[in-house]
Amino acid sequence: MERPASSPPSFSRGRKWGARLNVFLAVVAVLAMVVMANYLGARRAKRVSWGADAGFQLSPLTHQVLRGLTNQVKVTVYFDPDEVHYGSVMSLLKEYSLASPKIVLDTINYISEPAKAELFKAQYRLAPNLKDFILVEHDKRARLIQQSELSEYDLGKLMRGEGKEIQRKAFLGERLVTSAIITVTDPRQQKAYFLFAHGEHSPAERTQDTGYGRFAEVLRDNNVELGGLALTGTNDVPADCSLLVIAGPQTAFDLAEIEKLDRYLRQGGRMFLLMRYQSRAALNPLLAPWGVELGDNVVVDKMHSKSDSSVVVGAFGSHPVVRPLSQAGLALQMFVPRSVSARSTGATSADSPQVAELVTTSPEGVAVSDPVKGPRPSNRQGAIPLMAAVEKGSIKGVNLGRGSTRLVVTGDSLMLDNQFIDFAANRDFAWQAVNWLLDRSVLIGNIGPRPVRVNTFTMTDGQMRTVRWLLLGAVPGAVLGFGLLVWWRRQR
Amino acid sequence: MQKFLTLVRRELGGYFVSLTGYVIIAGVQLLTGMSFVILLKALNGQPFDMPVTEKFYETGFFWIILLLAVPLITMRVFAQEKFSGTYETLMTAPVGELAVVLAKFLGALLFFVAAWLPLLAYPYVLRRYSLDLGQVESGIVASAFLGVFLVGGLFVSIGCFASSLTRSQMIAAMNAFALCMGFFLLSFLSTLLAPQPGWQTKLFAHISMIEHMRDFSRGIVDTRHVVYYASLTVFFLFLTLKSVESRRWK
Repeated sequence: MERPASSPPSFSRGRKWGARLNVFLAVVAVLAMVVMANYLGARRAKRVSWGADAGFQLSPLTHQVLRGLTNQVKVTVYFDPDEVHYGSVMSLLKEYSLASPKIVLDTINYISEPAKAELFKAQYRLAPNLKDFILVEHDKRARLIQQSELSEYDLGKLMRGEGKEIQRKAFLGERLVTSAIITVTDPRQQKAYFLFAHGEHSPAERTQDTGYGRFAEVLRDNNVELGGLALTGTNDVPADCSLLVIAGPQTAFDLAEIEKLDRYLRQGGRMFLLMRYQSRAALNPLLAPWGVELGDNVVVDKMHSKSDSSVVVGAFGSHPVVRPLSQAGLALQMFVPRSVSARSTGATSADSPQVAELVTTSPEGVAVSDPVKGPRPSNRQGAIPLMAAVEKGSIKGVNLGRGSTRLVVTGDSLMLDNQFIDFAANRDFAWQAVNWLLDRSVLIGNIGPRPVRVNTFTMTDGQMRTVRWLLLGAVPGAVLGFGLLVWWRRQR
Repeated sequence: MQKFLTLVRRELGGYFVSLTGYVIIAGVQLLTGMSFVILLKALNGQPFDMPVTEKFYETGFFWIILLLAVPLITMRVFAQEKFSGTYETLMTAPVGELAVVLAKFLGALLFFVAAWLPLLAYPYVLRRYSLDLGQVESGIVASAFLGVFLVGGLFVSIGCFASSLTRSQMIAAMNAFALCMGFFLLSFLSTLLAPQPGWQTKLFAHISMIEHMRDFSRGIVDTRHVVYYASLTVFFLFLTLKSVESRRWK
């Protein structure tokens, strides 16, 4: 029924406009509340994973590092988006930027933005042919992570001749990025010296099995500058030495060298001493005052070995260096190790060295004193210690020069060489030991590699046909049929 | 409460006694099935390193279904009542306008959920043929469905608002489609523009439905996304309420 044209409006024009204005203001107010809710929600956001595989979650250590940031850290992703790592890198860095507003993310696609790419490279003096990397920068300090570092690969199939495929085993992005953030924001510049002149493993050697090039990478990942040192003649341990690495010396040290090392330790030096089988270095005079005894033997543990020369050890102590390994249920693989035991120094004062045995063999271990003759009943048997850590705290009013002394001694140096560093949790141990020695307590945690889960499913043509028929025919057809039935019944 | 539940029941009944409701469900099932079959063909025998739920939501079909189905579901909620003349009867019934709006929204949302329910079985079809059973985790499937529910809630509220503006179902569907599409297209700002320092990147990421759905399909539940969808859903329901109330003073 149409309203008569002459009927008066139920609302005056003024009231209508008043109502409209009222609605407009209410809508604006609610919209403001929506914006506010989103703003506050973004500031106090939480991300939780409902999946058992928390591969997309950052580790507690990374969160701890990000919470501690006081200044902006710029992370530039210089990548071709078609590269295999791009997706993983962006997902990971998105988590970083969501976890901390201090992380400023920038991307450069060198394919579509060549001018910006050139400018960036010129600004950071990067090699012209360098591409596909992440640059973490803070206050003119930068750390570069190349694409090749981001994954661990499984070469097993290729080596066994089962195929030409090299599969990605794990993604190391979080470990590298967090490490880079820590190192560029750490105001201290640390320097590690590798002792040479006694047949030690070389940190410059990246290809030879016995080289320490890959261990040197662990140090570089922690922004530690590397140097070489020979204590011959008048040379002494430099004042800027944050860490002295003695990696598998083979020949004897003379008295003057031992005195220099002893002085360095007494001044609060940090030393990572890795001994090897049949070494003639004879460093017990140096270690004895620090409560460590190096056995002249070869430790075997037949029940826990993968070959004649290796020992798999997982009986860790509760020291910070090995606690994360113990908590994660990891093990180390050592090769012809010597025993490294804690011994009494006789000192009982508060400032006497605190010695802790880090790891022992199983109770079936035997310290064979004469490897040629093999195990004898007279040999030491039981849980044989293979590593020790020593700390001697600083005393009030006494200036030790470098701070408190820290020392890690292992009975095997091969475990961290290029060939074996990635066996078991050896690399994690190296990471832990280095950061404990450098007093980077925040890094004494474990950001393990994230396994790359590669999945496959296989369906035969028949199975595919069944699924296709089910999904494209049966399910929609059944719904439609039921609908028609309902419709037909209602028509009747 | 009883009146509210009666209204919800009436609304749901409206979908399930008409052929249109079943056609919509069958259409949704056909498109999701097609999307799944295409995915299966692409992945068959090929190694892949992301959760299969993420792969599924990356297919264009998923968004096509959402963008098409919701306007078809919601176009009738108010427009049909206005067209058939039952609107005034409903609005003069002893129930508040808020209850009417919420009942219609809830009815449409429940129907939307019902249309998607069979999808729950799809990951388990894959599980039957997967060599790695861990690939289909219940937690990830649940979070992916939470994403579908939240996006669906927003789109349904938009559809209710569009339907409350007109008496033509066709116009209501077109308006809803345009608005939903607008929100969806905003997502492309974050995918087209690479991350750069500044607030724009954060804003675009915050409003990007594609990014949100990627997180949900990986099993990540981010409170930012939940707040975004919940607040916008409330906003559009508020607009719908004001639109319904406008009959008093128009």
